[in-house]
Amino acid sequence: MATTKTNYIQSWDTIHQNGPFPSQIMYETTLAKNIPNKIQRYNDASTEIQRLLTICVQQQVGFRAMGSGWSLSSIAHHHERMHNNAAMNIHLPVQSNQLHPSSNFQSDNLFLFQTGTTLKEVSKHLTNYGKAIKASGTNSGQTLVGAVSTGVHGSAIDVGSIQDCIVGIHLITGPNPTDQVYLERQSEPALSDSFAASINSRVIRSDAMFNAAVVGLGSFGFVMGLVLEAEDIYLLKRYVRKIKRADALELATTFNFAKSNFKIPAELENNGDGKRPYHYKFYVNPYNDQEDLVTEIIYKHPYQPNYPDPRPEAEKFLFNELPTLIASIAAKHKGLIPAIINAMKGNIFPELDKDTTGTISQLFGDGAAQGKVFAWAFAVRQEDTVLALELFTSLVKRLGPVPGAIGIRFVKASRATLAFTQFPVSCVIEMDGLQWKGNANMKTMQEVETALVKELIASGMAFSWHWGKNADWGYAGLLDYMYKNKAEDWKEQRRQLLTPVMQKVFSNRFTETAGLTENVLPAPVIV
Amino acid sequence: MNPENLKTTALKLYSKMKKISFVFALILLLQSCYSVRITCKDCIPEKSATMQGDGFYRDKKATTLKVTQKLSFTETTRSQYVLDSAACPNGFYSIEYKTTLGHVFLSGITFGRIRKVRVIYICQKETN
Repeated sequence: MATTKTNYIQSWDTIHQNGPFPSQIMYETTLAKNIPNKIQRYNDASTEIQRLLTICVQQQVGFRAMGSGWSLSSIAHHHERMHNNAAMNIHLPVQSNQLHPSSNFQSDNLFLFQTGTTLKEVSKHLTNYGKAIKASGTNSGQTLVGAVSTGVHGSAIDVGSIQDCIVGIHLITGPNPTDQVYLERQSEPALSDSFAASINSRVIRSDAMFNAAVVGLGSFGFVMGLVLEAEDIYLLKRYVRKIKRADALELATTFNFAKSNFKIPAELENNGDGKRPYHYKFYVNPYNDQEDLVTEIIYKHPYQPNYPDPRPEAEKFLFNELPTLIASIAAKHKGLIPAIINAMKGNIFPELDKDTTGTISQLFGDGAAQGKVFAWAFAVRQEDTVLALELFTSLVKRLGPVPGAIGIRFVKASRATLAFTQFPVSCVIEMDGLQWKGNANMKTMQEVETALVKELIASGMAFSWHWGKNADWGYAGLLDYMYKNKAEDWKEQRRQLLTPVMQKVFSNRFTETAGLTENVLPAPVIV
Repeated sequence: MNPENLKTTALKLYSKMKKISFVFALILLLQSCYSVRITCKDCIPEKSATMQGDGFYRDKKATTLKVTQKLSFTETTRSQYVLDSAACPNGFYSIEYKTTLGHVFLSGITFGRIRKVRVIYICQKETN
């Protein structure tokens, strides 16, 4: 039988030290050692989760799985019961006889991953089958379920976010035998009813419910497993170049890679036009308008086996994760914020990374914690990129100065109801930096976050904030401004799936603050 | 106090401060350390939910061993410390060996009979 250890904790924190947040218990479930059959072992773990949910219902407390703790907001936290599911990492390749009769998916592209499987594990397993994930965030430490549930986006311009690779969701919605659900889109059935029965689940096929639950923010039940659609393994060739600001912004708003002034000579069509890349990102120093920008541009290539291992180079990448870049700048200035800001008025972008080729998991691999960092990220329409960037840089200079740098990425729209990448092409403007406390000459981080939301709303520009990042989530009217009737659709689907009691169990202070759920008692904040 | 006495007192104080500074510097120097960490690239580490560590260790379940080997006068070749594989049934993800100048000094003055190191290891996560 799967077993659960109960750890009594005073508080919990994210990997980026955005807390600490008060909490009472951290459950830690380990799979049975004596059940060789994977499906039986998987089902045994579901039974154990339902046992924990029974306790939570009886004791009238909330319950939340924490993933890997990579979100910078408090979305993964619960002040009563949290769950560490890292050891629950069964993976199952889908067999052709498990496909739904109307399925258009190839069975060899589909895999079921249990709740605690990290993106690194996902890629490792997929590689063994000659497959790869279609999109990834900048590192592989997050769990697949955590990344999907919070809408982690990556920056594949024609693919979408990680949740857009998900075709089936196994949810545990309560303690009773009928409280296991296998959820798919009605318009895109993937697996058969008998597969759902094999994991003790009833089937729901509904586009509306699937789209709501896939970015469910931990509030649609315990996500026991996800069915992911992979593709044949491929290589990515990554270039980092300095680019004229005008060229970067022109590309940002038009995606006219064919005729742009900026071209990579090795990545041209036969007629001399630039190829369309897999990924386009650029970095902005908000304190120096004159500095050329740095772009990270990645092209997709067919897999061929004999290429040098890119990981020694990838470990040294500076232009990958913004916290890494900021940490390198901060280290040069002994972490002193005035010195960092002063340095940023000059040229901050260091030596460029070398050109590197590798699989997606090799280029976006292990990431390490970089100390107490913050991150803000919001999406706007692609056509609003320049306006939003000007507004944002002006705000951070005026309200701060904020010790951070800006990264701009682009992502295809997601079908998830509350995906923050909701625009046809979303431009994601992200600022990462060092947390600060504020003083007589400088507003606090929280004051700047409030002012940012206020001024973005006042601008009238459509935007939506990344669920896993820092923000003033309680700002009045923010949810409705960002999602309009979609937020109500999400709530309605949740009401259809969960009983009122379980709605409360699967809520937390974050979802309550954001206006998504109700009935969670407030908890004191540790100072 | 006449100037001569004042000078003598100042010199004594200076000498005392020099000694204290030397002791502090020595203590600091002996604390200075170097470490070597070997990590398995393709392996998956066991995660820690409590986030107690910093940097590389922040989200990983690490075990620290303070190892002191005392060799008898008849032993000349024992240089390895055996980590029990039962500690990591799925294999090791990383092993870090850390030693301070103080430990090196101790080893030197005991002709290698006493060896102190700190070992930090992380196990691999079980594959299912």
